[in-house]
Amino acid sequence: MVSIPTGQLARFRLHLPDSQRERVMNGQPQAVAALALLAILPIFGLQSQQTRDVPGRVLTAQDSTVIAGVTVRIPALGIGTATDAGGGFVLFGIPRARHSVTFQRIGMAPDTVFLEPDQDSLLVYLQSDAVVLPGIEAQAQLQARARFEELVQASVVSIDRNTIRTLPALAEADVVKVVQLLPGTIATNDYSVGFNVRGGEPDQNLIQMDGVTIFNPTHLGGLFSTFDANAVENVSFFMGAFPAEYGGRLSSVMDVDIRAGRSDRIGVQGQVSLISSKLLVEGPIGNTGVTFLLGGRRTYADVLVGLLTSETMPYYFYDAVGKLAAPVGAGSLSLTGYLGRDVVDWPWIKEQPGRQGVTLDASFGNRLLGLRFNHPFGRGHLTVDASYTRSNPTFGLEPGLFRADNNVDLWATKFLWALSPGATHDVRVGAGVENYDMTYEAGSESLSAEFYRAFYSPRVWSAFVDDQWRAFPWLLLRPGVRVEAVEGPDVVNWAPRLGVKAFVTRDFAITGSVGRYYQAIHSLRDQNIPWNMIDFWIGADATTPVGRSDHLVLGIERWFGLELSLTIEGYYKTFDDIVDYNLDEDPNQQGDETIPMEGEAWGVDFLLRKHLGRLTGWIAYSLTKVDRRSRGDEFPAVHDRRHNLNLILQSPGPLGSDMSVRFGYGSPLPFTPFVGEWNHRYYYAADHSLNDFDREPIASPTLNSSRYPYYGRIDISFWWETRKWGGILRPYVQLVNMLNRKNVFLYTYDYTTAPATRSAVSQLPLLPTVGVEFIF
Amino acid sequence: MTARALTVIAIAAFCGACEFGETNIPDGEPIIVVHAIMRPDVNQQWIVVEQTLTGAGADSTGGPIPGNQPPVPISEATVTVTNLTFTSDPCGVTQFSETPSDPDLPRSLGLYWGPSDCPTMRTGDTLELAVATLDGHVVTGVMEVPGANAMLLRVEGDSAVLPGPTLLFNRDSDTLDAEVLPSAGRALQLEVHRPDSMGVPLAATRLFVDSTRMTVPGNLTDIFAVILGEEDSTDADDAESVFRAGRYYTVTLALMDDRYFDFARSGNIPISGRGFVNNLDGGMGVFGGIVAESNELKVVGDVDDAREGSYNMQGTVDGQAVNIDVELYVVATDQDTTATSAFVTGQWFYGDIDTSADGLFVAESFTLTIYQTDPNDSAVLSTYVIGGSLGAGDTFTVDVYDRDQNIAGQLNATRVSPAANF
Repeated sequence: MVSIPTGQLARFRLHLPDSQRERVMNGQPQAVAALALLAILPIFGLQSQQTRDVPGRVLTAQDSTVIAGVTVRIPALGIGTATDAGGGFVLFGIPRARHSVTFQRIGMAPDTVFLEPDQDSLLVYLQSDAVVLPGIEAQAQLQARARFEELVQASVVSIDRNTIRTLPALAEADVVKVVQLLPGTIATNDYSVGFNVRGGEPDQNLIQMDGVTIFNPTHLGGLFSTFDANAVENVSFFMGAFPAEYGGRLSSVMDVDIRAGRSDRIGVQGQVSLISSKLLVEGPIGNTGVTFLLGGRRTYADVLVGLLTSETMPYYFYDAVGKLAAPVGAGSLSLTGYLGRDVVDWPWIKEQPGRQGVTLDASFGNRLLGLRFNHPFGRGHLTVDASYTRSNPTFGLEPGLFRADNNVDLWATKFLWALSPGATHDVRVGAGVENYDMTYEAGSESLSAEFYRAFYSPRVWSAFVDDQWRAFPWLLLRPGVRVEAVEGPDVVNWAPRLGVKAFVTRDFAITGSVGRYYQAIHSLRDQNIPWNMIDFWIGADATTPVGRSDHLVLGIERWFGLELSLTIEGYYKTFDDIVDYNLDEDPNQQGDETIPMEGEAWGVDFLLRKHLGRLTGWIAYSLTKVDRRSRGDEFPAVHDRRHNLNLILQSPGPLGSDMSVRFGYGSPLPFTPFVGEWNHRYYYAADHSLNDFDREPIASPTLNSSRYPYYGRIDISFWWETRKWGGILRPYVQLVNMLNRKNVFLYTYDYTTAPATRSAVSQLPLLPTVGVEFIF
Repeated sequence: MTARALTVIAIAAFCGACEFGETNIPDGEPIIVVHAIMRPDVNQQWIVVEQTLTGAGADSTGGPIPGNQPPVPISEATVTVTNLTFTSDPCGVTQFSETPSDPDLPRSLGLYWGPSDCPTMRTGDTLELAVATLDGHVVTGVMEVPGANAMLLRVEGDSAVLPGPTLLFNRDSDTLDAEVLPSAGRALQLEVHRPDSMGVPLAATRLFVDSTRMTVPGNLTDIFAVILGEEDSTDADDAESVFRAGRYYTVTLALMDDRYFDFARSGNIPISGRGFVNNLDGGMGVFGGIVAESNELKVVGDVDDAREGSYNMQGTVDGQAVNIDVELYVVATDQDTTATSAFVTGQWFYGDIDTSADGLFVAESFTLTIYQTDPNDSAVLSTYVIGGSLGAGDTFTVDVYDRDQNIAGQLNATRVSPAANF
């Protein structure tokens, strides 16, 4: 008698040919089960022979980057699997005989290799199927389609490197700016890297680099993000209702995967633009199987200004990202590091004989280190992460006049164990701990004065179980629960999640998700300041609550062939125990930094996306309504943009170029107008008089009672590609805000005149940039 | 506050040149502004009541208050202060008036004076303010009267309980240590004034900390003159040190209560219009308290320039025999052209003099302006400029000019210390 575990059956069923899969979708489980049984029987019959497990990896022949989602099969044995995100796979229990192994994936030329009797691993390079599609587009398509078919996860979008690279941007490609073009996502202005997702606040977005949290992912106050697009493999963006695996934030998860370096040879690529240059080197380390990737970037306006003029430009930023990846048996071990810093060094008051100079010395940035171990164990798969991340903005007037330091340190570790990937019950369990240390210190050494000191140290223990359950061939369920115990406020929060996907046809599914989310850290920001250079984070404690949000998402997803997909999702979100910055806080008292706030958001997100073909891109439209309540007042949130439209078009352009166009429209955003000015007078005790003053504006007590004009912007970029000197050169021209529309950033007022006047300050004007990318 | 400051600076730098579309807008919403800083150590209290600027036009003379009118004064308001703790206060409910009985008090619309020594203010008492305008608006606030057991100033090797003797302070090596021992109060405000500038509008330096002790290094650059104020702000290039050798300064220590500290430490941010911590109901501003004491500081420096040192000058000025000692310092050592200051003591036009004078050095040639008040009539001020060239030897001649730049006399000068070849 032969027993067949259900997991084994499901595992096989996942790799059925499309024709058989279609029958599964159309509700003939018995036939499929019988077929599967027949197919599996030979496997068990061979188990008495000498067998081996064969790990392998699939890479692109073009640049040796890993290829996920390749179907790997031994037709003679009826055994199959698919490559994971790292391009790896394992074929279990393969008899020691000569077998042909096939590799297939949309967008790649299929290939067959022979597995020899004495061979215990495979390394396969696939050519992109240039006739059909560029590989990278096909990969994106495949991921999107595979997710549609296999995953119960609403509100998720993947953006590949090529899309990021070619979209128009200021000087260079920017991961975060691309995410801001997706439905449900709003950037309140051009200078903002922070974004609001489905009514959430910017601090409610979990931004990770290879699973490592990054706190202030910005340069130059938000004009650039910290991610070097050349080093990015893929960006997964969860706009809400994310599964139990993710926690710690209320609104979204942006997971940026850094790619492993190529494994065949040393490669170099980079970019020279008007603002910065960057260089990335990658390759194998000897024959160890270890690969490296190291990229760096620096702005050089300060250097150019110094060389070409007598002036000084006191600002620059730099960053570097690196990754080491090594195969470990059938698994892998990787180490990701990042270091970035913005530096302001401005001799504000120049030193002179008889006068001590004063220098404005500020810097802010991140550094992080993440270790990830992936390994299959039996039919399961284990991922273990350990990471450290630090954000440490500092601002000072030197020597010794003033210094404010903020340090945010996070030590985190977690594991995720997929018990039976692809099985009927695809159960994943995991646990982790995050240890935060957040300190704020402000004072003056010269004056022997301490202005402010605060310390937060929440520790969050978490565990989750998540089951993606194919209850019926047409119905996928994803129940899960996450528990988070927060030391500091000493609370234990249970966060149930449930996802549903019901296939009406093979290409049409109804999706829904509901879940509860908690967040133990907050950033302090005055919502009425339209631009924050950096976030200042605090943790929950006895007085600052853990934020809570409930998500309900209901939608449809429809595929039209392999090229076009349509997603429409409606959502409703609540926000409880979120906080607003208490402008009346007493610097002597820790615990009054925030005031409680709550609110709701609802909306509809529409995404029509063309994945393949000469013309690709998407139309993203969002209808949103976001309200907040605080101190007894109800008001629209500053990101309550009722209508938001982004149209992205990528196609062949003139003069042999590849063209990328972005059209954006946003309906008016709320702001709090000024209702007057006052003379905030200085009092001098020596002569008991008021002398001199600061003229200060006065905001209306009714928050967000006016709205700016609508926002509109068209960007366009042209890319050319030419082969030269053994490599590829890609010169480009980009026009940001090509119509030079003056979108209002903020208003300034003058109430000293009669009548009073108001002027607008614009967002980004027309900014043409040129540059060149190179790949060797 | 750091983030706010950084944001404001960055936005100003980034967007300074991209304003557009100036349009007229309707008048704003008027709000009553009250500045009421109670001084238990001063016998005459005043309160300023004005309105915010709303675009309806304003008529401001500028300048210090009392003495000048606020741009939009609120007149004929009922202004009272009540001591809630001292229920049997002989002052009762103290009424403030725009027309005080004392004719010497400066008057202007919106400036309300209390009667002498009222309200009664004992340390720790709670006072209540009420301002009712003719159109029916009412502003209220409360404060607690601050009080200090002692106020101390320390410099290296010397100290004074305020008010005390003049302290000698070397700006090149000393640090001023100020401390208040409070019985009620929160934070320390320190002011540095120059008392003998003779009406020249030199902005004072004002520092405050959220504690009762602070230090001030002698070489501190006065950044506050650069970043603060609409009327007396200074360009960064023109910023000076707080202390200059060769000058007398008055250092005032003030103990603030919570309400005044909130008023001083906070302000509405230019781009958000929010941030000021307002403790008044029905209006904005301050109802707070301060106690203060002052002390004189004689600021000297290291003698590290050949022109610096002590000189004796004798001769006549407009027929009067004079004999002064001049202790002279330059601001920028080893610079041909530099500002200079000097202590001037001895006999001058109106008799005894002990003051400091400012001037200018160009190479070896110098000028100093000496002010002296007639001891018989404080309204009469003599102004003379002395000028000469140090030369190579220990003696030289100094000319004296009156305010019309006519020769008023001549002095024989002798270098006393250090030696000329210093």
